[in-house]
Amino acid sequence: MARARGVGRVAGEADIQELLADNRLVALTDTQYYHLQEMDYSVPYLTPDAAALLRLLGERLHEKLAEHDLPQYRYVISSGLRTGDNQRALRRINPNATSGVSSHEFGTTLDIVYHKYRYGALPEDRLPDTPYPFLNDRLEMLRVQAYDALGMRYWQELQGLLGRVLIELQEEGKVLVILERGQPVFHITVADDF
Amino acid sequence: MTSNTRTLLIAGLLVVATGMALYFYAEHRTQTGIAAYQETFRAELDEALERQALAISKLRKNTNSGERATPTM
Repeated sequence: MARARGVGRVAGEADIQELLADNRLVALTDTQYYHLQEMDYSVPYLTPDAAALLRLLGERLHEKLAEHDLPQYRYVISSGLRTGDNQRALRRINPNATSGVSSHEFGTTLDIVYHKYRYGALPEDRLPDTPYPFLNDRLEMLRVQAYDALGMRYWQELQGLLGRVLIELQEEGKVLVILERGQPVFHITVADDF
Repeated sequence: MTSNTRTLLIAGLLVVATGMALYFYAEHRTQTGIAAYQETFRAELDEALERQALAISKLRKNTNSGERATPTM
């Protein structure tokens, strides 16, 4: 699946730049739906279809959170595109990294950490300003930290919600999901056109 | 010390004392205001977190039996 829908194996930076110029890869950045964790063995690039899937996943998750009157938590992406060099380096430390070809090498597959969630503070949720400018940012920071802590405390419940959204998307034929052994991640591959 | 000098000295001391009093009063009002905002903020945040925690704890955990919320291929 990953190979059929992907960009072909990506050797390194030169390939990435070429694929970005051809719009066959897009660069990922933090959005209201997801947060990118620092990536040691991959780079934050995916195919446009995979990027669109991430947006859809985020929209569905936020709908479900809103149904329960819960804060708009963002899911966390821990791994994206792996170049050949990334894959070789990872194989030395992670037995899950296949010795053959990894689906991560095609830009269609990514990992989502299921035990971490980040609070996505919306502008309208921000506290009203106090007359003390220095206090405004401090209180807002405390509020965000408190909600992040709540997400950490109830990660299993949030994992359940995210898992059900992934099941729905899988049943719709939009994604293939694997729960990795020994790593707290959903390994997901885009399975449809967007 | 002449009478004028004494008057000027007393006036100066009064000005300094008044300035210091005003400064400490303003500082006290600022600190009291900040403390009030912090107290209100903490109370509202605690209430919101308690409400959210109650709502979130009603969700099914991934480890619960019944509906399988762990997708696999």
